[in-house]
Amino acid sequence: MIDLSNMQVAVVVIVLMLIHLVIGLPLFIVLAMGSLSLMLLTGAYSLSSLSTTLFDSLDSWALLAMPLFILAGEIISRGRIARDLVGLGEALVGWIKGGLGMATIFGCFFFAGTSGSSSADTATIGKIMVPALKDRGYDKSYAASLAASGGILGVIVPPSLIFIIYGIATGTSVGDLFIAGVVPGLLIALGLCIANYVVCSFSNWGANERSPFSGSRALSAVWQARYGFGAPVVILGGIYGGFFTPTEAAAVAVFYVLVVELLIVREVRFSELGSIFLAASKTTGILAPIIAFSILFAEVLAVLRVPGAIVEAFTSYGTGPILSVVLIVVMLLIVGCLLEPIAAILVIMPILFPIGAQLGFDQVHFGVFVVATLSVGFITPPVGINLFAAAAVSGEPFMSIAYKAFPAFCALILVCFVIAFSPSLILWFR
Amino acid sequence: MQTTSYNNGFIRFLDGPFVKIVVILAYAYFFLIILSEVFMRYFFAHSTNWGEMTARYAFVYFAYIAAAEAFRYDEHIRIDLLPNRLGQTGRRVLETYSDFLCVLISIAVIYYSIRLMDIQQMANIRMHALPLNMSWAQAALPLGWGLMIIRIMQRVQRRFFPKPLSNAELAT
Repeated sequence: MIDLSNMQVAVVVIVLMLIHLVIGLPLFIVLAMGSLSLMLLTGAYSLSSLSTTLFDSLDSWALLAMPLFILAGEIISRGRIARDLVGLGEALVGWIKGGLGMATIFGCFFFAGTSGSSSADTATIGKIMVPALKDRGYDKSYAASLAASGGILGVIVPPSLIFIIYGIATGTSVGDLFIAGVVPGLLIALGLCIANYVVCSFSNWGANERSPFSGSRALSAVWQARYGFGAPVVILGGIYGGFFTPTEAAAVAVFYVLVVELLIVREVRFSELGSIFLAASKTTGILAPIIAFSILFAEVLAVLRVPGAIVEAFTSYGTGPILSVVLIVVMLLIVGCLLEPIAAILVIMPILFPIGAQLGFDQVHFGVFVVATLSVGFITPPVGINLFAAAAVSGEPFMSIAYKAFPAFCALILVCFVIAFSPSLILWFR
Repeated sequence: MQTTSYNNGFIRFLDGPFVKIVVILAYAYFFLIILSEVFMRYFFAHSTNWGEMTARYAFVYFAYIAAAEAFRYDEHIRIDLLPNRLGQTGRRVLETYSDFLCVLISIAVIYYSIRLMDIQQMANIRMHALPLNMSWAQAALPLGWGLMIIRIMQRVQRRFFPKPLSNAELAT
């Protein structure tokens, strides 16, 4: 039986948290305030466990993969691997109508195989491709929107920071999530390419760019980009070959990209290492307190049985599976519009995860579906991180890029429904 | 007008390269330890029992110090639609309220962490792989959140008592 007074307190606190979030308080302060208020007002969770939870939530072997994948992404974004991967994309699909736009998306796809961050993906590929796209007659805002939407692949194609966070928050195998992200990554890339093809057909952007497909050029591009394939092979092969845990695979991937960029292609200098470590530390510094307090918040909510009550309310309406998935998609799109997706996953999973279980979702499948849907928020205003990254590298206005990203938004929504209703596509490896 | 804060020697020390070096060293430490554990396992069929543990503890120190540094550069995730539409006074009120809440939270974290460290000292709770008291690992919290209070105070100081940059600072 749910303690009604505790539930009422929880509702009031959650409403207050939403108000504090909207007026612009940092997310981790909102989560901390909510957790501490619930602990004080309900007495259901002792305040003395505050320090234990904040320590234990970060004292996690699996979580160590996060800063290491961020570091790997930071290194390759400054080196040659990214450029070679874009060249490969261009050689493979450059002959199709809108081919350079597709090459941007495939560049993001290949880059995502080493980087786990969507904004790094957007900024790195955007820096290379936006000027090239503009030279070949594409609208500059549209070119930036291609980098922004392709950047979403950074968190779907393994390794993915969001999958690591989801895995820790829900107790799901990070390795399984990584392998399950491969097919959705391909589906999203395909969806974005089709959207780009349609846009280019109507607008005639990039009409004069096409050169016939050349097998020797494609082979030469594959050879040129050979170092870019090493990290994904180390990560996925290492995890699934049983050689490494995801955390160890992340460290080996960092070692690999360091050796390639410092010693083999020599695009990164030893003197840059300090600034690379500092730049990578910023992302962890932003995420760490959010992770710690969201775990505390989830524990407090669980003690108060709030997630159970929400599941009960959700299922009592007797909505069928299709309507339930539509409701979840709408909710995730709204949350994704307002919150950075990594933060959003930590905030909503305590509530959403039991609903997924109730609907009969496998937890790996549910994770991929939720992450893919939330990731649409990377290209929706007002807090579309990829839009900010694309605006920064292209110099185009934020809202103009957001408007031009609308075809990609539609394609992504369609792919999210395909992911939701095709568990066998996602869980092919089982 | 560009401004700076009134810094005493200790704050200048914290604003200098020291904290950055600590962050880089902690980051490099857990990267190298994890990597060396993998290499030792495959090439020497050996691994230490302290490597994984110290990597995790280095990460906790690193994460909370980096979180405090994110305050220094105002990088924490927030929805800034409303603050961007407010005037300077409104923004100041909101930012001060946010800083006040964060200081309260930091004090609570530091208080309960020090209490826990006391218990760990008294009960002589040891790390499982090293002959050290567990309170040395737990100290990451008061250290990180203490630095956070300092960074918040610097922000408040800059907000209400801005000081123009000196010619030397402007030149750099």
